[in-house]
Amino acid sequence: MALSERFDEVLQAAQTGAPWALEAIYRDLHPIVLGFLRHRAPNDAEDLAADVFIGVAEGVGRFRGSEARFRSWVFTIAYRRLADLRRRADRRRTEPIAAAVLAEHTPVGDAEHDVMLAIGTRSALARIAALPEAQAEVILLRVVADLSVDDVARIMRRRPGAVRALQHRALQRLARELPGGP
Amino acid sequence: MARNHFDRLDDSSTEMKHETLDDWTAERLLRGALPPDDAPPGYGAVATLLEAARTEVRTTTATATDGMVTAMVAAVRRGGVVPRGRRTRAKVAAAASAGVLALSGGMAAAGALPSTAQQQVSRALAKVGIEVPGRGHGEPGSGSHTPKRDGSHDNSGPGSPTPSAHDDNADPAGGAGTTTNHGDCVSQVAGAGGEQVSAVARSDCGKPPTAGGHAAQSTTPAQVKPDSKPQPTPQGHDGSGNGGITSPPGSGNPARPAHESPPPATSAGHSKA
Repeated sequence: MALSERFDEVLQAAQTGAPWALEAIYRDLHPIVLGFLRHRAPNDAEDLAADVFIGVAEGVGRFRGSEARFRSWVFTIAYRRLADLRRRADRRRTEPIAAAVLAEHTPVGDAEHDVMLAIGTRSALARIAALPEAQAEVILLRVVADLSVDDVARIMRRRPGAVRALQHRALQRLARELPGGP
Repeated sequence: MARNHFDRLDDSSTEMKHETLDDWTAERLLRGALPPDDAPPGYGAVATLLEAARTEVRTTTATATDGMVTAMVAAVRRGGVVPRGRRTRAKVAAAASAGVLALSGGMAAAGALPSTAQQQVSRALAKVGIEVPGRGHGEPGSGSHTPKRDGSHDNSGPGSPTPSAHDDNADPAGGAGTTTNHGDCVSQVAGAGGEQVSAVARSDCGKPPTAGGHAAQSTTPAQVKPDSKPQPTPQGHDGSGNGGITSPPGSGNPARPAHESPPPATSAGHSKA
């Protein structure tokens, strides 16, 4: 991502409160954090994302590690904020999508590629978000946040093997539901 | 691709059809390293979908950057420097220090501290321009002052015809020995008559220290109580009619502590002698 080679410099400056460095972090990570949150808590995603970055700023002075670790740490904060929100709201563990909505995004025809182009990216994320909660979170963290199995396992407080099992089931489910699937 | 006996699409066991998706393939799929055309049968659409999802979030631009960055800068300063435990301890320590300082300062101002402590506090406060008695209660020199820094020139104004009254060497009552008050000073030179009596009467001999830090230079220290209040007399001993308490016009507010007084015109005041 955008930070990559400058990460150490940016981190060091951010730890001193340099606005340019904090802005670089925000610009780099905000879209993917928001992308993750938007599909887990659509109504609160913006506020949650802001809360996440305030938390990042509060803790950045004590952070030590690589960019990958930093990304994982940021998503750990995001995941915990999300969990806090869920506890507060006492929501159901899944947010089922109405059949009509799914039907709207379900393509007809056999040409897989053309169909997927017609679906568009938004429905792609919607499909992922429609997976069972744990599966959706694994896929979003792996694909949207670009995190490793170990990072996701740490964030979700699960074993890596459990995360692999979840991602397998998610992929199978997507394959089954998408056109062209078996 | 079907590798089991369940063919109905609504059968929940259809996920088993894809159980052969190995970890390596799944990993490549999730990392976007597997083009749809190279994906296993049935997973081409999944590869496309994951790539579309990846594209969406990475083409999104962060919004509301300015306000957010400002809030983040404040958050770094709030949370990044000192751990919370230390902050609490620092606050407690600061409050305790302030309390001790206020207490000791107050006691020092009253000259109520033991001699050594009084001197220490006096020296410390003098560095920040606050004058307190240099010696403890009942100790020799208590109630004394530092004449070069304080408002000891209150009487150097027009109403003070004896500007050298506070100068130890020039005090006309210098040989008066021990006195308990101004009256004694005057009495002791009563026999000398005329000029000398007048001079002593106008001096601060035997007077308690004033708010400006004055003290009778000729008195025996043990006879002067630091907390004793100056007793105004109907007719001042300094000739200013202020009972030795207030300053003559133009000399500033006598009640004002020495450090708040304007710089004394030492040479001018003494030159009048």
